[in-house]
Amino acid sequence: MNQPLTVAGLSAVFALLTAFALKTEAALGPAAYFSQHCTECHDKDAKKGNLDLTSLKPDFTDAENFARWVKVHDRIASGEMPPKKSARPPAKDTTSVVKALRESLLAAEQARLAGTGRTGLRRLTRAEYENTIRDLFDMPGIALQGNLPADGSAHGFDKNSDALDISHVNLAKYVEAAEHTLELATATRPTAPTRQYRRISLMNAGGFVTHVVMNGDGVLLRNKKPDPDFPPAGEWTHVDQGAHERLGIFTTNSSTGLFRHEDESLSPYFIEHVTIYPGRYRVRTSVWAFQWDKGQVLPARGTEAARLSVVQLTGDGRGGQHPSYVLGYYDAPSLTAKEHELVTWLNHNEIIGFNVASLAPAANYARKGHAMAFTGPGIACDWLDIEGPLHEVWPPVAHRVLFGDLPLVEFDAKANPGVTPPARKKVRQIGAGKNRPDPEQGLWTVRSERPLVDADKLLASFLPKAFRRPVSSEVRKDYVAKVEERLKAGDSFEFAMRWAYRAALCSPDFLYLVEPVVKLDDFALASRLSFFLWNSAPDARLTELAGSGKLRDAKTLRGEVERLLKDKKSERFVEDFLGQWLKLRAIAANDADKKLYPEFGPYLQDSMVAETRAYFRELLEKNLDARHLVRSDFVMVNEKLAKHYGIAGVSGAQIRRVPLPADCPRGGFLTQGAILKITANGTTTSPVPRGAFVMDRIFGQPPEPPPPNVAAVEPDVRGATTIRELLDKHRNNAACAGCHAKMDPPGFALESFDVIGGYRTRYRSIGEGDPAPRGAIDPFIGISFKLGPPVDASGALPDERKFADIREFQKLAAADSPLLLKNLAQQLAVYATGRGLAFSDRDAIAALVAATQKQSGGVRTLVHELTQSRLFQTR
Amino acid sequence: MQNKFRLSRRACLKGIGATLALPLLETMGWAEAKAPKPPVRLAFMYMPHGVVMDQFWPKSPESFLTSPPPALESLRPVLDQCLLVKGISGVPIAPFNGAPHALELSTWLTAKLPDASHRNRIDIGISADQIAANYFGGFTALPSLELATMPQTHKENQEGLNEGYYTHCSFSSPTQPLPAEINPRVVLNRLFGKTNQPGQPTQVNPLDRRMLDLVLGGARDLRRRLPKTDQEKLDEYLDSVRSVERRIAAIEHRQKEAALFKAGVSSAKRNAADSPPIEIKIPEGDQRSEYMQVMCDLNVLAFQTDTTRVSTYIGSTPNGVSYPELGFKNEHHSQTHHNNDAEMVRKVAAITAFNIEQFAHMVKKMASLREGDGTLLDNCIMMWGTGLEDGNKHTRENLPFIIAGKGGGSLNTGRFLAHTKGNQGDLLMTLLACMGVPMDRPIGIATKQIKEMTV
Repeated sequence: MNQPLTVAGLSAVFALLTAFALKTEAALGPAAYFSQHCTECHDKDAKKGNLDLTSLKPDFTDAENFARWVKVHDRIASGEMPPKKSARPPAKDTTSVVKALRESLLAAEQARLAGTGRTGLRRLTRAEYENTIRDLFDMPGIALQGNLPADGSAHGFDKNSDALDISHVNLAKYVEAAEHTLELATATRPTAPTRQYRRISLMNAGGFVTHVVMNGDGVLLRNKKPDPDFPPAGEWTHVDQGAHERLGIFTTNSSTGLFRHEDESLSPYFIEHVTIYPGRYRVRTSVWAFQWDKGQVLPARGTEAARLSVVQLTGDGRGGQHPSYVLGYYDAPSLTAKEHELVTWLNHNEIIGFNVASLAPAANYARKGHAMAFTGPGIACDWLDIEGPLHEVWPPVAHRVLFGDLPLVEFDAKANPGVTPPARKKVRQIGAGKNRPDPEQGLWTVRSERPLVDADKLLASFLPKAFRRPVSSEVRKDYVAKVEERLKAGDSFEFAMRWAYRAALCSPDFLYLVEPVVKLDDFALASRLSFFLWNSAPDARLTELAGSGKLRDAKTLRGEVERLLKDKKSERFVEDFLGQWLKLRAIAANDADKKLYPEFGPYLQDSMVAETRAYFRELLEKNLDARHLVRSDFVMVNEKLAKHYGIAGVSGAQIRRVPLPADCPRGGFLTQGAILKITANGTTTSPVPRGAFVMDRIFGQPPEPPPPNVAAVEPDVRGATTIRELLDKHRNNAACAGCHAKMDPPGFALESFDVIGGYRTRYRSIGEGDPAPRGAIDPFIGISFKLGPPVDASGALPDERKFADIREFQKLAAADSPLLLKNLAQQLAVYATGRGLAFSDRDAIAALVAATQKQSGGVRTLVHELTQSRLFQTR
Repeated sequence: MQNKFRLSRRACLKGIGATLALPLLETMGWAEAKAPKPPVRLAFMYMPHGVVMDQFWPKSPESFLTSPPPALESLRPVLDQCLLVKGISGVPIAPFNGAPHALELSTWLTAKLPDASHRNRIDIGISADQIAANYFGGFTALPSLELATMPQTHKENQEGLNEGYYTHCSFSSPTQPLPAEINPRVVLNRLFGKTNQPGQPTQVNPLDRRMLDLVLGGARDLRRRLPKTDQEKLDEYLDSVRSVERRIAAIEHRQKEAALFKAGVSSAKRNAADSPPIEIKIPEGDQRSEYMQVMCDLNVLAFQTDTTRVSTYIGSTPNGVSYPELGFKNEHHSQTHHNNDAEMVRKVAAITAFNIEQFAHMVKKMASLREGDGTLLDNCIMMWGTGLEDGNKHTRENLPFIIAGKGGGSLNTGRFLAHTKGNQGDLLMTLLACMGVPMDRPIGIATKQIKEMTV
């Protein structure tokens, strides 16, 4: 057990540390200070807050002890301790004690950290791995991270040595991923796969959509009228899909009008294109909206939104899969066809999916009268054009990265006795695609006249790119020697090289971010910069600047940061950083309760995420200050969100900047749908987790963990008692009150928002309550919830400043702008450097904040100040 | 978090064992003689939050077999092959008093607390399953199998502890948690190296020992250039390479044996009485019981074919798990803080019985499979358990657990030991010793082996 230290003992330890403080002013030393002002509560009998200052060892080498002393320092420095009720110590005593504590903590930490790298050696995260491969090989959509084990996280982010361990499972997966990459990258044919162009339809032989349209969940349209050759279901009973197919009904170029939203038994796809050759494809579609009235096509209620997505077919291709990812939401204006075009990468067996995203779930399938008895909105899709794979050059860039300009030739077994012909996977097609594989062209592979010379040349080009730094000739020789060994063992040149490349992609030089101790060299700086702002490896220009020693130049570095931020790849930073800082990755962790929140759906959820990203992007682009974290005069919304937020005059699916009406509380992160959903559990909200989220993520003041043996407060969805009433019992408990006073206020202010971020003045309930008005909820959505007790969003901050509602809270919060900026600086620093912040980093953060504020406090300025700082440029 | 397990179609992989995995007598690590003794296998299956004690512990050692407590009802047919021991305490969790749930699982097989000096980083102890895997892993294609029902993605830092403590029970080194697999199809692929789904990376036997040599060469070179702290981190990487190498060696050996077997060379060693490998049916729905049973079946198959000898199955995790199949939506955790509310107690008991049922499914299947002179279960040590005694008060004085199987004749089963004194480390030491692992140092807080349990 610890030897309890007497106050006298304490003073001995501090004597040395306080000596210089005593020299300047005759103030109280720490030991005397503690015994006069602290130990009445914090001794071994009272032990308030579980702190016994009389036995807390002044041993700063022990990390646990160090952390406790930091807490003691912080509480005294902030004036929180000694508590307000007791007599205030003279200010000069407090200042001197804080100073003495600070000096000794700093000295201890500096001694501990001297000469070591603060950022631990770490491997790439899953996302970094995938992005790095995508950029290295110019294969912008190759899917790899889904097959790698999930990463952990530490200090709130996954980019940290402590979170990124490696086991044989990871390694086996890296080997597989490398093999998959090299197989896709290698050209195995003399010419590019034929660029196929095809116009396809949602109505197709054997498809899902056909089946539901025959039962009235959609109609065929020609010239904006019902297709006379295929009348709406209800007027006619379509009995036999096969018969229609034989009659050629689905090859008449009619448009498909759909009423039914994607659901558990309907996933609309364009099944007539199933990707065979991975690559870039041009996708174009034409969509419009209409109002259907029992057989008539009328103008629509407004612009609707259609969703395109990418779906990976598995098995034999008949199963219904959920979209792998969304390509986008596209405007479908009333009765005017609008064309949308994009170029996207598609992997093997991927197809394009469709959804009438802005429509409410409605099905006529089993309803009497089917389409002829239905009046409601529909979205029509005229066609989908798909063209590809698009190869500007052949062999593709990926192949050239591996094999340079070596000629592709047909493998001649006779001329290569004893050489194993390169193995090729047969091109397989599943599903109902009308695109076809090209005819077999024989066995083609690269030819080298001087294999070892070429191997050396190719590796000299590849290894520095893969390892993100110059590679010594010894290391390269090792690889070449192994290629030679493989060639002797009978491998073809291609396979011997692929073998070496696979080893390179599984080596720690590729998988780990290797940084020199303390000051980063130019290449490590280039990597840190690009993994920060692109979540990927440096490109040729960054590497070149590093190689010529210019990157460190402040002006050049500034220019590069600007360039990186302007590049589309910086979207990855926005996505990855927000995914963790604001936990956007958890947006789908809970489904909204279908009875309480029937209006919730995937379109709203995707729009929420898009808003939060677009808002952060706007802060970066316009260099707006940190007050915008909590309060704003504009909002980034599309029509769906605008309606959800009660903002008029926004039409269409694209997110854009809209000025906020006066006294509208939206705009800042605090009141964004995504944040409000992430901090709720899908059914109810509680001020506690919401408050904790805001204190931790927005203000950078994470609350203490809850004590053991306390049952969670479970909200009452029957509508009898409000969460505040339930919580008040808990807060009135003295043991709980201290922390909750700090943690809950932001949560109280956010009580005005429900679990999907809608504004409320009364709680929704599924038991007691008054009938709920429809409000902005789509008329095709049934409402069964009631309105329960009124919401009370008032509260008081720990310093007793009161707020009546969210707007007043925002005003108070925005006034704390240095705190907001400091937190953002910390979050960005932890993310960018891959390490937690230590006591001794506080000055560096304070300097960042000060420098940023001097230049009007913008977020982009902060990124510049960070990248220029010593904090960023050292390990 | 709800388990979102979903598979599109019923997949019935018939006779997979017959074609892909060898009957266990043909694999390495066995005696050469005519009557080889099957190896002992060890499995752990976990449920969080403790049990309702008066429904779990038998009334007396005498009544154990005749009128077992309600929670053990599903095990009735094999109770004579089970062993219950009361009096095994968990690791005392001070100074992490605020982290009862974060430590339930991570102390379960380590019998040790995390290092308090850097809570944010995983640093605990090598877990018992991995000690066994280190010893026996070289003999099998997979050193160990780690399974779970829910993804290990829970984010919470009780007492500032690294969130990995919440969701991991297997640690291959003090700082190295092992991820668990939740997709049965992937498990099947891992067990038998089946080709992957279309569109997924293909396996052209990329595991190549010479390639790893090259990688290792480069890594050692890099290691020399690194400062000491980085070297330690890189050692994790080197360990993982060696672990893959060992696996390759085992796979190569199996392939050789398979060829011999096909050629009829080693048929003399084959025991005709052994049951053929079981079939695996991957369910299509999201019924928890079906899902857990297929994971259990995979475990049985892995043991039966001697693809691994050590497995852990995190049957449920301490956060956000509910059991809609049982007819109520409440979360497991919230119900365990029942304060003796009858309805909540009933639900906790139902959840416990449900988890034990899945374990019973596995154990009964093993008891029905012939191996050598007895059954597969005879040669296994299957432990089901939970990390708390009573979830209501977070006590851990008498950890509830069930051991099934005779451990190759080393365990004295069919008994309830009502007054044993020992801790979690002692228990793990005893089980490992029964398996044949030399116990030259204690596991966690262990001080002894529990002699009463063994023959």
